[in-house]
Amino acid sequence: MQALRKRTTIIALYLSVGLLATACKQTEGNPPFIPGRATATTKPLGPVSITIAWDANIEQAVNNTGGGYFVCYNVDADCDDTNALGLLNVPYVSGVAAPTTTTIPDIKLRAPHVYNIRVRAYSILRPLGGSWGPAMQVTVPR
Amino acid sequence: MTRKKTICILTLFKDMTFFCAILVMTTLATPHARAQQQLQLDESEKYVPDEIIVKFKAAASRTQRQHAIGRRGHRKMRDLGRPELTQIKINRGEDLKAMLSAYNRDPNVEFAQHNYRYRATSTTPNDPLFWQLWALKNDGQTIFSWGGPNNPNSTNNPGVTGYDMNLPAAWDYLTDCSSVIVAVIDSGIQYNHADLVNNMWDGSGVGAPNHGWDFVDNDNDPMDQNGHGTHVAGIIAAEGNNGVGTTGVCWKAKLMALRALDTTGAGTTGTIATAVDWARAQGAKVINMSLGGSTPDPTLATAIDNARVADIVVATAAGNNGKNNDTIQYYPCNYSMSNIVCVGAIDQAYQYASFSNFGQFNVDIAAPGTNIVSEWPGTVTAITDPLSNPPGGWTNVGGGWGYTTLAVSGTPYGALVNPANYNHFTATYADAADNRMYQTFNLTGADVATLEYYLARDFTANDSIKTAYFAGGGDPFAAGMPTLLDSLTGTSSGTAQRQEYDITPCIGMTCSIGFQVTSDATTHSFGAAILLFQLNLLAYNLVSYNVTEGTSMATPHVSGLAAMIRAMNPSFASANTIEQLYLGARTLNTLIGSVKNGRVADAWGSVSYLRPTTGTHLVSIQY
Repeated sequence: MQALRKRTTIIALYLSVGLLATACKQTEGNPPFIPGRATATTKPLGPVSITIAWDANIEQAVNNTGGGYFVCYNVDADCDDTNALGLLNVPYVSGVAAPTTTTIPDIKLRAPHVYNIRVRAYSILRPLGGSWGPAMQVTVPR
Repeated sequence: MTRKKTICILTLFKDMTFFCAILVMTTLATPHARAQQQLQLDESEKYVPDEIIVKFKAAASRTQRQHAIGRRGHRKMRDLGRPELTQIKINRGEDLKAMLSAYNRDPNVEFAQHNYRYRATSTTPNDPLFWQLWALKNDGQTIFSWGGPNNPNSTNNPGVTGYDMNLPAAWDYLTDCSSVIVAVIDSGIQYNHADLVNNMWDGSGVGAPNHGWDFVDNDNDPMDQNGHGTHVAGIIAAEGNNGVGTTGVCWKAKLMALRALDTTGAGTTGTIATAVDWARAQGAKVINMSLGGSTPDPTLATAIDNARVADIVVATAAGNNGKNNDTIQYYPCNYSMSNIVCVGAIDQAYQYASFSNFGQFNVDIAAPGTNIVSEWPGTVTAITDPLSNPPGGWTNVGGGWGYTTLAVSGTPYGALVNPANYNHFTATYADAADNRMYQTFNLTGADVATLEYYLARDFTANDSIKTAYFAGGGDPFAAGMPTLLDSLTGTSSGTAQRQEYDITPCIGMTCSIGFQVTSDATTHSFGAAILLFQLNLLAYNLVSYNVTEGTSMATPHVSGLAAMIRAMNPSFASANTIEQLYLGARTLNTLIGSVKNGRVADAWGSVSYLRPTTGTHLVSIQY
């Protein structure tokens, strides 16, 4: 019975992730925020990492030496320069374009939580990058 | 400490890793800090006196980090890209060195360091007239005349420091636009000018050995006989850092000279539309059209639309009438093709130029357009005549002519008039008249000559005033001799209108120029008044410059910038280029209403602009 329940939970989890992984409408201020609902009864989810992708910026300087992307992520709150759980650098390495995918590493959180993720491009001219793109939210459910 | 700092700076130069980029950039003190790729330590003021950069150990918890700062009474200013790297403000009067030591002894701290100061460097060319180019770098300098035919406008001269297109910062990254062909549809280009010769497009492979085509005379020599096109070309791409003359927006470029405006600066549908087609066929990616008119022209519109299909940016002037283009049409500016960028002019204080047409819906962007110093095809000398008694060298045949003084806008001018008692009220010219007035001039030494004057006229049908020249001297209206420049009848409605003619074939020691009033035997009117008579003589050389103004001068600043954007982003379509131009533009509230969104062209802004990254989506979750 216990094993059966666990399997059911995992299936529901995958479905939920698919449904709840939504890109929010971009605004100049904070995007819509879905508060977390962690409770004391929440079980550890175990290692979780999230792989995301985005559309390549068309500016040549992004896709060249000194260019690339920053990925900002936070949990249960929006992310920006001053408020981030983590900030990943995805630099241009070689070839025609900088990478457009990365994996946010395991941060060993208890579910459920909402990951807020934004991406912005940077270049040798703007090492701090341009404006953050629209927030994407991924809910990792119970 | 020192070792770590050194490693970081080296990393910035070599790899531009995120950590060091953040660290260095946050030390730039001003909001105008730019050109981050070239940073130098300012030895005179090395670091911010009350700030520290702390790198906490990865294992330090948020609470431990907060405690380390809070227990010393300090304030976290910001995380520098990631939580363990923090900029901290210490208390006023505290010993910075002691605080650094304290943080460095903290078991949760990996290292603490000064918040070093850096300054942005910017690229300044060695061209001797660069300091006069306020549009590229405005230091509040006064703009002077540089031997050309025009003098600077005194309005906002000098202007305001910092009101410029931010070129030196952009040049840190890119000066070479030679991957982009910029077609200049204008009066031609003095393609041998010392500051342009190396930036001319090579058309030798397509039968254009002189860098373009002359659609006025339909030959392969688009040499500028006016000056306007050369001035425009210099704004786009006078060779930079060559120790000569001025500096273009692009230091290197491929300038295609397309002569569609004649010696007097006038063109036609035929010359201009054909030039657009030619530029398209030869691979131009930017076309500069510092010209315009008030009538919609389907042929020209089609040519520009074909250029749109061919992915060409067309920068065009808003016009110099001081009118509202949203209500009074001006073309090509007002055409709706998406590849058109209509450019208005602003002055040295970034105030909208009084002459510039405006329009919050039809003028796309503003750029510097007053007191612009640029190349000129040669030296210009003027021969004037006061048109006052005694008559000087004028010879009267058949009577009828005389001299008087007429006030134009309150200013008195000598005038050559027919009838001799001209008053534009009661006096009339004679019936059955053949009244000639001519003078012989020495035009030697010139390569190009134009005749210019203002004419007020009132003639009935069958009566007229003619203008003619003859290279052999004497009466230019003598039988078999005249080269007729014009024959006008009707009325100019009480205004004096500018007339200008190419008299280059008359160059020599004995060029006679004359006017003839002829009339029938019946009706008559007030006659003619000629004012401000002047001969303009252009002698080519390779080292001349001029200061002038107009939306014609604003437009090439934008064309040059479009070339810069395309050179930097070879994959950009014309739409991307124009978008980059607009997204990177400066916006001034004071210009809203004059130009769309108050936009002002900004080279650094457009060259460096990065679009927000979109399309972020989940790929997978790994458990």
